Amino acid sequence: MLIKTPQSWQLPESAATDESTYQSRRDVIKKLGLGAVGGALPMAGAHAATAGFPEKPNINNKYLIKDRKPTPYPYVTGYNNFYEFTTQKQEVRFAANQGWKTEPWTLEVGGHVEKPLKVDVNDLCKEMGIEMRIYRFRCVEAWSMVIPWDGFPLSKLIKKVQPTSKAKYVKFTTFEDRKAAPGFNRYPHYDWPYTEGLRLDEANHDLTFLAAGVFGKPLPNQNGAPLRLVVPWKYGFKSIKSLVRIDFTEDEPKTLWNSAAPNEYGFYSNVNPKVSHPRWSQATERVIGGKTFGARIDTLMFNGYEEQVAPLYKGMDLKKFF
Amino acid sequence: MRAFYRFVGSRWFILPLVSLPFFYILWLFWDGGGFAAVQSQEPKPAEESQVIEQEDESTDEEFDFSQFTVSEEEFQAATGEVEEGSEETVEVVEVVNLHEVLTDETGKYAILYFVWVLSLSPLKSLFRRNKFVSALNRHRRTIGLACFFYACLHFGVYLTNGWKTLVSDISRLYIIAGLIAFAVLFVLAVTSNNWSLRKLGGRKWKRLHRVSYLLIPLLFYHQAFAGKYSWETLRETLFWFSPLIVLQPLRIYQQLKLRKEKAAKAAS
Repeated sequence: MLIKTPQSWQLPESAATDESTYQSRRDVIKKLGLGAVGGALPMAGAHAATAGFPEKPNINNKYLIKDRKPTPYPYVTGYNNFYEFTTQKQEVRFAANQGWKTEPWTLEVGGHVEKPLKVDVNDLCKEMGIEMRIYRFRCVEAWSMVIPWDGFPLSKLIKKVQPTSKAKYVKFTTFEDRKAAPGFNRYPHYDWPYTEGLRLDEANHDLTFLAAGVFGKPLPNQNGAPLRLVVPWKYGFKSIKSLVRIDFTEDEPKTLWNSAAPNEYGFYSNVNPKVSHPRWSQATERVIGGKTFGARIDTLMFNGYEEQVAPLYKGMDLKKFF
Repeated sequence: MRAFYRFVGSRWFILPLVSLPFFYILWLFWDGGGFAAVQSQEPKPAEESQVIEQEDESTDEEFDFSQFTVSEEEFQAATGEVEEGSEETVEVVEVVNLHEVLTDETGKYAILYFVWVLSLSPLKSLFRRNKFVSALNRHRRTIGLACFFYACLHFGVYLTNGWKTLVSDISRLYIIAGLIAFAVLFVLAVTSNNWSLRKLGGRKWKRLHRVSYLLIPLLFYHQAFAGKYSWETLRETLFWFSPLIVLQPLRIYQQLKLRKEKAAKAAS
């Protein structure tokens, strides 16, 4: 591009090995407009858990989107917000595959539970069983996708660890490997590591999903390998990626975006066309993969899951608890 | 050397410089608008086949699995692990959200030319005898009009979001800032010709066009707070406006100094 701000995610020489040659080759290919990744670009680097993925996707018929086609895979894996790597959405797919290992990976579950857990993600997936659900995904930036996730409902895991009566909230934490991802040091004004939280009843809702794969394949690094949360009726930033810890807490956990801008990103962050972000409207959203001009659609209350989740918020002032 | 300065002051120098971004934007639209294997995603009406709501089993007969799954090659391409020399090459999407890119790029170029045109006269007053600067100063009108041209594209692309978005956005401060800036630029653009100069008279015209300085804080705010504000956006905006941030105060200081000297001379 003629005018482009410098690549902020490029690792220093010390961290890159043959990945740096991969990077410059990719740049050349991109500049020549050839665009093809295949051929002459070997990549060292692990990808995500490969546990228990069935031959044919085990689609859960309760969760289908009939009025929209799934967003094409290259968009789902090529347009990501993952500030641990870079703020450039289309560069994350490269930055996150510069040798960051997401296998093996351990998940710890603790806090106010009877049976705390420390388990390899592969083993956990094999135990829980993988099903496929097609969910709407709505980013707070007002764009949206339709994504077929592979995983299991969080409620299954919650049942396994048995939270005590003290547990009122669930706190999720992601990785903080400062050597693997340049964002931690490049964007020090964020309260790393990325954390998110849900109320216990929201976490126990059948819709709340732990995804280990997408489109029938393991999660690519840029989508939050090897295990991520998916909360489809909330804005996308609540669907925290690359989980390392799940804690059951008594108090409302603090979240990265709420700490960064409390008047803009609330704890609940339910998709609500009637409650706008202070700086832009949430009444419409852009369909990723749609036509360039005119692919804006109306945002649905609770992202189209109003029937399933509205009871959770009965009597709650959604403008106050945004 | 004289031929060089003549060239710099000529249309052959400035027209390519102001029109190249336009061709780049056209190319973006043409080439970046999609990805070879991808179909346009129109919202589809509900399917005819009724789905059994409560069962957890997969139903082979009713669903086309291919829309929910990808091949091993596509997966490897997404994780950057395609085999060397592989026959199956999957193209990388150049631009996912073209509308966003078009909005950003047209806006950036409008700002580029805006900053450029307002840097020209400070440069001239600071480097009076530099021939390159004087040659550049002949292009103030063209560059100013280029700024308005890209601003029109920028505004146009934004308007394709539809009236609903516009109505709900109109209360956002940065949008208001942008709208005011556009209105001012419009007035400046339509008076950027010799006829207006003659009609208004040099002094009035000059005063009118000085309003462009008011646009500096407006456009700074508009760019810095557009969309997802973070330190990165603010930093980027500072970078774009840096010539003005440096040059304008310098020029103001210089002019004040001159005025003081003149006053001192008159007094003595």
